[in-house]
Amino acid sequence: MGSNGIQKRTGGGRPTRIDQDGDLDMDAPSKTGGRGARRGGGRSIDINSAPKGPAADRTGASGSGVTRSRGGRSRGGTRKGRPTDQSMIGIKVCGWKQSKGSAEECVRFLERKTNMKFRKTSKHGDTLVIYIPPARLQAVLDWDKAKFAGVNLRITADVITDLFNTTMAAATPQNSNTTATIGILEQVLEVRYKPETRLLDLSNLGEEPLLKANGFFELNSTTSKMFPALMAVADKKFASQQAKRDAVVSVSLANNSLSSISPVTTLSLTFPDIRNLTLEGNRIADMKSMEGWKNRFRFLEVLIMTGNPIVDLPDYRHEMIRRYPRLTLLDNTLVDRPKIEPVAGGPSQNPSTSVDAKGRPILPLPTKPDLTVDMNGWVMNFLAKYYVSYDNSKDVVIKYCYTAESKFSLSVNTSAPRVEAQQGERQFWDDYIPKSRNMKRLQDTSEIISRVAVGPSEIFELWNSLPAVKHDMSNIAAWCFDIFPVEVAPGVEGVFVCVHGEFEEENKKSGKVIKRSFDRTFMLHVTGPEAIKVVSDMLVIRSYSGLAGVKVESVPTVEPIPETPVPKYEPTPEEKQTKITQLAETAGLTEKAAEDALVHSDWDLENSWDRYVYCHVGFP
Amino acid sequence: MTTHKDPKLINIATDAARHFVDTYYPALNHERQTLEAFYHSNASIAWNGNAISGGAAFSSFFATMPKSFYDPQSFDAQPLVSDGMGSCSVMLIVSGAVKYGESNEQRGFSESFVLKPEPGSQSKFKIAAQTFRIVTA
Repeated sequence: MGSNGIQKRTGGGRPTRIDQDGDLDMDAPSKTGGRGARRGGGRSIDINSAPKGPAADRTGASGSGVTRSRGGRSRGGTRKGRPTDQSMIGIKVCGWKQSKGSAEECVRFLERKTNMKFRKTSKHGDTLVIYIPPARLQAVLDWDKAKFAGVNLRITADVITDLFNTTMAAATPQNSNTTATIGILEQVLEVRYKPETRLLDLSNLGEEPLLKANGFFELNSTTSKMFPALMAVADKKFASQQAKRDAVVSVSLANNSLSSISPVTTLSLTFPDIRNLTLEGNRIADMKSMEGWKNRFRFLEVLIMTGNPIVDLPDYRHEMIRRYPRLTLLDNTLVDRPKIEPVAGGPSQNPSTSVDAKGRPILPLPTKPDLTVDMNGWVMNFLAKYYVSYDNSKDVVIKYCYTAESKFSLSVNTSAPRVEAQQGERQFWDDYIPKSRNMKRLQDTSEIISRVAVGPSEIFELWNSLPAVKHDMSNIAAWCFDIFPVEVAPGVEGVFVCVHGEFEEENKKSGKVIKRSFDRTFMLHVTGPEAIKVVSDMLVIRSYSGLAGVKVESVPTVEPIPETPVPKYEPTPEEKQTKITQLAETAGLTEKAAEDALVHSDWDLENSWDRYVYCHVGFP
Repeated sequence: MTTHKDPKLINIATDAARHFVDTYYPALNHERQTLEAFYHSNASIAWNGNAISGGAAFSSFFATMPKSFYDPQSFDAQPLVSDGMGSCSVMLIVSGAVKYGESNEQRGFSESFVLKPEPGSQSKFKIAAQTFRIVTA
């Protein structure tokens, strides 16, 4: 922390209790520096800088923030003649009047709770207004409904307009105006938002022609103010919280030279529910620089911080995993969630003997549904298109998904466990056996070589020699997907995809339709949403073994680490009808079918298989 | 017609897969304490939907499993990416049956691996990625 900042303010302090404009002075006489400094210096609070005062030490202020802020003050003051404190926003606190406490006590209470020092507060009848830097907004709003001296406080921020205008003014380059700023930032968002993948790509903004051409990067302070402004415009772009949730799932802030998330903290207000976030290639060096997002992004599943010095800290992984309870991928390494107690008394062959209701031994980890680490949803999107086309338009799949180096092979497991109804039933494997590459059976090296199909035409030929099959895309319960990236060779990343499912086969020999189960593992090369190619493709065909989709087991034997409970989303009847109509239209379904799909997915078609299936009609 | 088929790499993948299946499953069944050595230290593992990272974590997890008997009934493997030094990474898919504890019930499993060659050794491979699923209802 820049100790000179504190000293300086202390020097200008004076022990006022109430000042002329009726503001309460919350500083104790011993630390009244804040007020004096504000008066004397005409301080403008840089949105990028951390809050000042003793509390700032606790909340992760960086020393450089102070320096920048002081520099910014003089520029801001002379350049545009802006009023002081313009980037502070007012938050309304009500309810305290009915309490046993005073306004002053209420402010102290909130200061304690938020670990902040409010440098300006004012009282208007029953309403208490506290002024804070916009970046700290959520930290204060979190205490809405907090119990104070016998009552629940109501904390509201009718500040979006406030925040918007002040942020825009702060971001506007010299010789320009806020209207122009808003226009440019809206254009930037337009260019940087990818609706098909629901990605807001704010990477490399320093190279963004729209910003460069308009002078947004002439001054350092402007640069740091551009981010909050961009966030504010983004906030306006989407009407409701739900609209934001639907529109943006992933955000990239890669390569922006950020040394702290301070300039972008409001991202967590605008898009609190994003699942994927990359901060790759910035300059974030310590946990303090991430403090503003400590209790944010409760749904974050993928976080990429590679290329920041912070990743070298010893506690880095542990801390990040702790902060984001839903994280499944951190810097391209799977997050190891399960906490498994070491077995007492060394390795035992038989540590668990308890059984479930079916008499099956209980395994130490409960079975969980799909583990999909799919940045931007590209891979699920691809798979939906793949299977939509696979049954009837294999030529199209070949054309869009396979290259000269793609490999495909299939193997049959004739003895695989199956559902009871299939036990003793003849399985008619004849069409597959001559193609099967099951190495348990096949020893002949030349056959092993010849049974891998390489390149589009060989693969197409092999597929066409197999019986016609039908995959039922609409039966979500029949599918299971595990998807995550893996480095297949130094510097070469692929996406490992394991699909389990079922299909119906028109079996010529028996004249019957036979239902079978399959496992299919792909290695994909992913370079963009429309640029996904199959590197390797291996199919296992076996007797029908029941639905592959995983129902969540209710009795885990190992306590998972506590997660923040997520309230189950239950839309109103009107919202339900809207969703049904929407889905029915996009997917060309009857309302009944659409409703079934929605009920099945808990009214959340985001990221779920059915959404992809219903909303896609295969490759162009 | 030309093909990118490289018989040498296919043979490497085949040998790696055979050796792996012949040693890994016996280790699962009888020598759990040796499991860690099959894995890269930062291997990514999805076990019935649970993310586990690294051989040490997998090994300590598996130590808590009831007695297990895995029977790899079929497997297939392909070379993935050449390492430029005569070897390659390998993708392997296994389908089989497993019995847990004292139960005689055979449950189907499907398991896929990415095996990577150890630097400086053409015949030694370690698990870089693995997904395991019980596939019978």
